[in-house]
Amino acid sequence: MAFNAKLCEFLPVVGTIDPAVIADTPVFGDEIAVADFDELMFVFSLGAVDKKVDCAVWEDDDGAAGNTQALKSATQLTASDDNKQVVINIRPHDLSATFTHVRARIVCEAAQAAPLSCVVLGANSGPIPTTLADLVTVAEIVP
Amino acid sequence: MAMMPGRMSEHIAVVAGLLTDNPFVIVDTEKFTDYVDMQKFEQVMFICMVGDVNNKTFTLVVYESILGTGTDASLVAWQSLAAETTANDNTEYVCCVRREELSAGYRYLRAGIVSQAGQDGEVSLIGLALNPIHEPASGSDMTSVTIKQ
Repeated sequence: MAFNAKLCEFLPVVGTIDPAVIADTPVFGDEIAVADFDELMFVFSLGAVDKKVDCAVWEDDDGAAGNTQALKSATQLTASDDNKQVVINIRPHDLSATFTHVRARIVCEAAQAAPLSCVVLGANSGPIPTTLADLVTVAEIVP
Repeated sequence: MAMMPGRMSEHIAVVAGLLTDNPFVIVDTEKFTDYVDMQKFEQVMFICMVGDVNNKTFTLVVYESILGTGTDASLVAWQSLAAETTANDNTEYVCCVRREELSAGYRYLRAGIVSQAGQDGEVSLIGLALNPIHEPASGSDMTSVTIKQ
């Protein structure tokens, strides 16, 4: 990392769960190929929640959620956990054998009155400018 | 970064989020994040995530502040993202500020977001700070302490 670089130059936004009211049907984020990054950091944000919330990172072996399973899970959050954030770190060696992709997962025990979201940042020491790895939905970067 | 020991969360702190509720349905009253003390970090990156919103104009601004309080009269607009009017759904906006970019005497940053009118969708805004500054212990003295060398 160049120490005079800006965060957005080496820390792309590689996945999200867009802010939305989450119900008891799990919502997944973008599929992320772990091989492209040295490490990933998932930041989940909770609004004023009314129900229990589970934040986790799931892994799969094809980038299409064909064979998928839980990889890391945060401690279950409850209705008293309004406005909390949860951070989950993932490195390639955390994945099970033959698994190659990860994605965020949020689910509530029942319909919520408040929104939840997740953003995933990727750290990469590779030569390709990490701005190329930003999601196509990243509309503007003010350096 | 990849060559540093430790996990990403040991280098990057989640230092700010929309106050009270984050995500939040934004209205025409500006909603702010926590203040970030830039004496303690090398740089900060604000990430705004927009959900399924109406086609209203909204503006994201990062402010610098001398005192880091909501009543700070010296609060000034620092940088503004282009206001979007349509097709905002499920997009992200990123704004980075390094400590040396602050004006002389300014120490704190916070972001604010406002819509031209009430939205039906949610917006999330978080601030991530990199590389905490290591300082002499005297840097944490109370302001009432005077040191004679």
